[in-house]
Amino acid sequence: MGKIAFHPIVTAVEYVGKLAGMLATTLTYFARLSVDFRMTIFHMSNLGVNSIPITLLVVGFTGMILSVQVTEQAVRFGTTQFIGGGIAFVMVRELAPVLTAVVMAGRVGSSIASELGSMKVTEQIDALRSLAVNPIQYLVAPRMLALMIMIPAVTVIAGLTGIMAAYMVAHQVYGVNWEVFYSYIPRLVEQRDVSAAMLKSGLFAITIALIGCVEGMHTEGGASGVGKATTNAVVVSIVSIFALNYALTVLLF
Amino acid sequence: MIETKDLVVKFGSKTVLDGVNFRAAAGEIVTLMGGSGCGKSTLLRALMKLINATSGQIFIDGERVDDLSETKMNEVRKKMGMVFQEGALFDSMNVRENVAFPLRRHTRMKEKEIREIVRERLEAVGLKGVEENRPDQLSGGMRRRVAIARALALSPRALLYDEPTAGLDPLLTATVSDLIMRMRDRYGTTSIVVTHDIDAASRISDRIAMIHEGRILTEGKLDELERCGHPHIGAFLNAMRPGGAIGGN
Ligand SMILES: Nc1ncnc2c1ncn2[C@@H]1O[C@H](COP(=O)(O)OP(=O)(O)O)[C@@H](O)[C@H]1O
Ligand SMILES: [Mg+2]
Repeated sequence: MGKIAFHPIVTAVEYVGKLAGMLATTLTYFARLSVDFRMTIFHMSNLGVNSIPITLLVVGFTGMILSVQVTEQAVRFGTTQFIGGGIAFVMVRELAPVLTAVVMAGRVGSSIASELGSMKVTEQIDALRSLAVNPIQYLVAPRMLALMIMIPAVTVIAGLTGIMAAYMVAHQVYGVNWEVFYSYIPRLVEQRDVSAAMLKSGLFAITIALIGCVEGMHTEGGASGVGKATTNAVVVSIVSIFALNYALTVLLF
Repeated sequence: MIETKDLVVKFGSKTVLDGVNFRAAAGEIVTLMGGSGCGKSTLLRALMKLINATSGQIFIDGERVDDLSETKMNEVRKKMGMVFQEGALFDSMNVRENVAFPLRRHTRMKEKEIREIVRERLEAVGLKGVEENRPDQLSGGMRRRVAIARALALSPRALLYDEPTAGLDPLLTATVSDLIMRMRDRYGTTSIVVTHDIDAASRISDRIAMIHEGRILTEGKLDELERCGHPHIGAFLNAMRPGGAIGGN
């Protein structure tokens, strides 16, 4: 009976242990600079570049919807000078990093988990080890590094796109011009907000890569196991991103 | 060349290998037989240290390996090759890249030398002109042979084959069996072969080892096994015979 009650806790602790173990091993490869450069570039384009359009669409539309809500009120109360600054503020601090990470978790975390998962169930990971190649060095490290570079980069583009999309709506629908829209942005968004956002998105990148890789490399049970690992990777990453975001927002700002 | 002493492997509370004492001398071909799920693959995987032994000792080339770190074990693994049941070819790479993979990772050979070795290894397993094919474009028998070529790339001293002939037609079974013998003749490779094919086993191997209930029940030539009079072995061999429950047609 006690065993059943503790089972979820044991599972959770084991899971965190797997994540921590994989992170530690990956970081030692980073520290020794023994990460395959060509594989990293490949994954940067494969996992990162190909996710740019969908991320820009999501963050762009969010900027537009935000602008509709905010600008209408601002015009009503005659505070249009705050529109741009306010939107840029939440865009930089929260929306760009979080939305980019969530989109990436869905698109990239799932693809990492399914790729590594199908390698696991077809014994390709064992084959790597039998050929004296460490799967964490060969499979995990380049993916994680690629995401650590690409997710912050995509976040920057997404944030700018979101702000510009918000301006477009404010300008087209409510006639707010650029000088007014821009006026409070530099005053409300500080350098350290941008740095914090980059740090956040870097940590989200590690989270997505780590969870996708752990789910993939521990896949069991054939094709249906790969499906489960893929779903788990997305669900666990998204929940972790929001939890981590809360913790980081409290710590950083 | 390869030896285990009282090797025990448990998964959770389930004991799969329960004190295996096994030996394969250099250049020897040993066949492992036994019912499904008796731990044949587990033994091969333990020898490669793909799974950790619960207790007991493993020696490769006189060196104790069961307590080696992953990094040190990788040096030992370069002397060994493993052919997985379904081949386990890297499906993101074509045949040439698969066979070249260990050479690219572990040697400083030039591209030209690598190509030459890949060609030679593929020729050794009787394949030509498939270098550009992806694994999913190959038949089961071809995948098995590419897997052997890849395992051979670094000229290992020992090769472990996990059911290399399962699911192959009789002609391909004979081809793969011949191949295992030729590898020994050509490279002096020590081979451990898991198979259910009793004819192939008696033809290619110096010794057959029967696993039952987590131990090596008996080992020897086929006729020695037949004469030993153990009821389980008699039943097993009969079932594997042509016309038997498991055996070929
Ligand atoms: N990683 C594992 N975790 C738990 N049980 C395993 C694992 N690998 C193998 N087993 C179990 O060990 C037993 C032997 O498996 P295996 O060595 O694959 O048998 P076979 O002789 O058919 O190759 C089986 O009952 C299998 O379910
Ligand atoms: Mg097996």
